[in-house]
Amino acid sequence: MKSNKKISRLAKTLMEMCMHQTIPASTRRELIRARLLEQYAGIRLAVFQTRLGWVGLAWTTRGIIALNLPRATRAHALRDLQRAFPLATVVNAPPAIVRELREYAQGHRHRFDLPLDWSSLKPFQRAVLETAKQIPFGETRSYGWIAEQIGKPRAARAVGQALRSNPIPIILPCHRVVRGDGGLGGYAGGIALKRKLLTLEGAMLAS
Amino acid sequence: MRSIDERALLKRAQTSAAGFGELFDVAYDRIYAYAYRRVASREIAEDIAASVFEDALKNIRRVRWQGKPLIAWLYRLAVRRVADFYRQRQRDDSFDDLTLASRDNPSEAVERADEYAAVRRGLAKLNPRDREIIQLTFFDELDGATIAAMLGCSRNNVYVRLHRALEKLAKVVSNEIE
Repeated sequence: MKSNKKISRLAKTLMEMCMHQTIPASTRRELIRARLLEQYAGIRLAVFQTRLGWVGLAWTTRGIIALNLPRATRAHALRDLQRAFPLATVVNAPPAIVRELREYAQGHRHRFDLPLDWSSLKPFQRAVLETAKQIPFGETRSYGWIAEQIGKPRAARAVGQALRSNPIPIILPCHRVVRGDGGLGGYAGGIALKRKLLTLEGAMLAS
Repeated sequence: MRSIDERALLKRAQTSAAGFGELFDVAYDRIYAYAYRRVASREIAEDIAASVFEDALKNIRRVRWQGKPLIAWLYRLAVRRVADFYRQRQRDDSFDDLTLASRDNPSEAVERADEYAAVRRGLAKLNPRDREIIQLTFFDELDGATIAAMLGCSRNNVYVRLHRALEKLAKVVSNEIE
């Protein structure tokens, strides 16, 4: 068969194959749409100072959706926040949130009573972070401990990943999760900050 | 999505949530299907489609109308997200338990099943660049202008690349059949 004929026959076959392909309907379409639109319209941002530095905060009507770790200046904190949520509006932070975070940074608050918006998290990450939330102020647990608590004892590495992408650090205390051998493990905000938070909580001695 | 409408659609998507919803409504199924064809899992394809629209939401204010199909921009974001998925999967053993569904399609016309299977095996043997242009044309059913905007080349170049890829595929398939 001549090359051009072969190609047109092949093209015909490919078109038929396309007609026969089945793609299962997306069952989460509406949920994904709703989340996106809410993200578009509903997110508010604020930055405020604490003893640890300038904290960036994003929240929806449901609760806090993201907290950016302390930065040295207001401009840095705001830039980080707007990079993640370019369409959201910057307003004043709700006083209750500011108060609780400032008290924590002074070492006076051991637990947070703030509503959180979990809607952007997948079930595995949510399970990991909800477990991390149970670790009391001033204590630490290992990655393996979290993996066991959520019934996936072999998933310590995946736990580490889920913690690293924690959108609401400090309030969801991923800094309290350390390596099983006593090493500090990683931290999205850097090891120095992890050490600082654990020292603030008395889980580590000041060096 | 006709280009004259698209310009207005981009504007609406940049200025209101409802406008962004409109963009989502015209494009989601296509982006989801694009991802599904490459990962063969509904859930993963949905995750990829969701992150494509999150990326779109983050960047939409920066998009300037250049007369190119808007969907091509979303496909470009999808290309990146699919590549991220495969990179992460290679690196990360926590994905080990993912079993990708077979790409074989039971509803194919039985009498042509052998030929389809030979074409599919042939596609798997092509280099990714050739395979992609065939997939974009025949399975994602994109037109030359959209593919050109997506790949950042001219429409002519798309046709040349497609023709060459088809030649290679025809050769692989006929070698296999003979």
